Amino acid sequence: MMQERFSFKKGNRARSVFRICNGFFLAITMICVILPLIKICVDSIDPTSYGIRLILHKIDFSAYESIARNSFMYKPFLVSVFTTITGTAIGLLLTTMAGYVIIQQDMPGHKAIVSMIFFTMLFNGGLIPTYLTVKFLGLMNNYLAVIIPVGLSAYNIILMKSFFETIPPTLFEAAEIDGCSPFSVFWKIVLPLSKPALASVGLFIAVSIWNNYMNFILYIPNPDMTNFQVKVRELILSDGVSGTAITVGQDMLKSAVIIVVIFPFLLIYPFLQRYFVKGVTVGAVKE
Amino acid sequence: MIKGLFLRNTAIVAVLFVIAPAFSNGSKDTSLTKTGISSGVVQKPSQITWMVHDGLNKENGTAQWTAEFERLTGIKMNLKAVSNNEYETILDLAFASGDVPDVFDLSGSRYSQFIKQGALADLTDLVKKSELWTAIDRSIWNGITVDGKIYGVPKDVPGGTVTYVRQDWLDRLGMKAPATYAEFITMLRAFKEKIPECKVPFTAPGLYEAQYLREFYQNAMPDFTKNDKGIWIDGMADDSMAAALKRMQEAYKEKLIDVEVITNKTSSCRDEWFSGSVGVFTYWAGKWGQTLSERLTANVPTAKVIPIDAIKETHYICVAPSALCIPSSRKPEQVAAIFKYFMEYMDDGAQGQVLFYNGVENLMWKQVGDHIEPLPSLSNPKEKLMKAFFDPATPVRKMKLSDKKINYSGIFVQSLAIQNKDIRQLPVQPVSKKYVKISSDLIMLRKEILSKVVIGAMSVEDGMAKYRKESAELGVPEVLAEYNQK
Repeated sequence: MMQERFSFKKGNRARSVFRICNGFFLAITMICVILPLIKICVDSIDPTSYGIRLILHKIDFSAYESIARNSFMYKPFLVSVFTTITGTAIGLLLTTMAGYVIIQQDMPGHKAIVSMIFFTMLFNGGLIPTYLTVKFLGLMNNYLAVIIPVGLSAYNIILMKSFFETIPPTLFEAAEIDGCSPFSVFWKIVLPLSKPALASVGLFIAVSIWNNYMNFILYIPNPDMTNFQVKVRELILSDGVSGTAITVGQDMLKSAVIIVVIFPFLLIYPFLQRYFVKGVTVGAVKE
Repeated sequence: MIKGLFLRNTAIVAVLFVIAPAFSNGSKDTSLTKTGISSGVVQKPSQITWMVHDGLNKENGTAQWTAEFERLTGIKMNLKAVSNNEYETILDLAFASGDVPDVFDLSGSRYSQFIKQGALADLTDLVKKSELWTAIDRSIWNGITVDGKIYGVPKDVPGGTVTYVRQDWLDRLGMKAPATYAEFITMLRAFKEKIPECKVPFTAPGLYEAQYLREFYQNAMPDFTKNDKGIWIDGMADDSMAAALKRMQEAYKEKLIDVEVITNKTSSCRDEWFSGSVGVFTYWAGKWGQTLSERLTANVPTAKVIPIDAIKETHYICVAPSALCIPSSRKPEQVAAIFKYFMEYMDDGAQGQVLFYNGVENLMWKQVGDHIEPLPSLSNPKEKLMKAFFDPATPVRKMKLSDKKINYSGIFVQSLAIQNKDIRQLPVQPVSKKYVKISSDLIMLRKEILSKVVIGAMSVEDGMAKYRKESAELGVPEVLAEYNQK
């Protein structure tokens, strides 16, 4: 891309004004996004914080200590990590396979299958039918009950399908001529070329599974199998009804918990950003 | 041909999926083995399933508690602990899926709704023949009696709120605790103007719950209530509400009430209080009073808190107690067994009551002379475990054993004493089909009117007129007609 001169001379004026307005708009957006995060950080370490005050008057890490010292949080944290990694892997595998199958136009029932998948994107069975389905399938107290509904969604399948359609079909034909089976084409040609889509869809799935709360409450009643989100919620609620001892303020604890919960993805996201930027425009431009 | 074959096979599979549940066992009553009443004797069940949403959790020793229950009773306890916030959703799902626990608790309008839908077993005869009928105060039974029938056993003594005030600020100003509304407002003004650290003279979690704003509502009530003649009226449309709205509007305008009152939650009010910036807060009596005092003094060592008597113009109120219920899907002999071996046991005034209220001996409490001394909780040794599942400070019936007293002192006892001086229990609303349909819209309308009038976006007269008109359109007169028919 050519380096454009920032100048108000004729010919560059409109572009320069645009760049100023653009920068201003993005700065406002950035402030709107960063300010709540700063506020949460301040609330998590300043027990005297009140209203919209952003300046620290006191620094106290007791909320974080309270979370870290609570050994009952470790297993749920590991459960969250396990379900996120496993769920992302399973979700990506199923989503990519489903997307690959859908792009096979000569498959019998192709239209009907795509319509059924698309239908589920528009209409949902509701809480009770979904609960009954999971129960009927014998998935209560089973991590698959929280992995599959989140990991395999119609939206992600359609997204993946759209990306696969941008891969030149001549590559598939060439691979078949060279003796590749359909699965080999998928594994050796399609997947390696799909890194941006895999990164963005993988991130969607990972964030959804990491933040999973309601599914664990409904389908994993066993307290030994609960995840981090459920546990931190219990931590916040139980703090509010303690008896005689002094514990951390609830708002401070809630803010600390928010920081702890979003911290892993705050760390990971910068490494995935270049893939994510490419991936979000998946299927936007057709050749 | 292939297409036709495919469609036919798909149709067969779809039909099989639809009719398959008809061949399932449906709702399995797995919680109790066969029980029967032979020769008038209620047989002990082998297992009881109890869904709980507060009290002990896994870290605090539910496994040990259930083991102790089994040791003492010979009955396997299947404890289903669920998150308090999702309890209602999970209970509804349990009913929908046919996997209903043997015992669960309900309160407020949910209790009435479940009764209306025939979901609860009628325990009237069992209660009146049992010791609990005389052991538990009649006013508590009245709190859960609907249309002359009893569908549960009280889980707790109805709790109420009291107003807590910063005594140290009163001392600095040379003022006494207010006894009238005028003195109350004078106190709030003095806090605002003369106490630099006072950011919020009076805070409350919202405007709709009258128990948190006693001094402002006085005898008005933003809900259905009974008038002096015992007739059900819509308190929100009553003339007393206009006066209450005026008081709140004026106080809000002077910034005597927290400017964030509409969006406040109880947790944010508590945190404000703990930070030492609030002068007056109306909150639950008993254990909460102790917590409010201790955590405030941890942050502000010079702070002193006192609960005050209700001002002359009002009295403190309490809500109806919550009740432990048995589903109507259980057979009569199973209901009798659960009632005898669970409900009567938990309030037997002896060993059972100690287990349900205080927990396991030498793990959760220990005997010290003729008193029970709570032990540090397993999850947080810095804290004492003050209760197992029910609050021993407010048992529904008195303990028969003389060596199971509990020492409470200070603001804990003070706040309960003040609350009980002149507390009124809110009447239990009867069941109304119409109210079930309109309740969420009606409550939203009430909250809208309250918010707009108090912040000054609408005058009191306009707010009252709007509410009377729109509530009539929703069908409030029909609700009142149903209530007053009973």
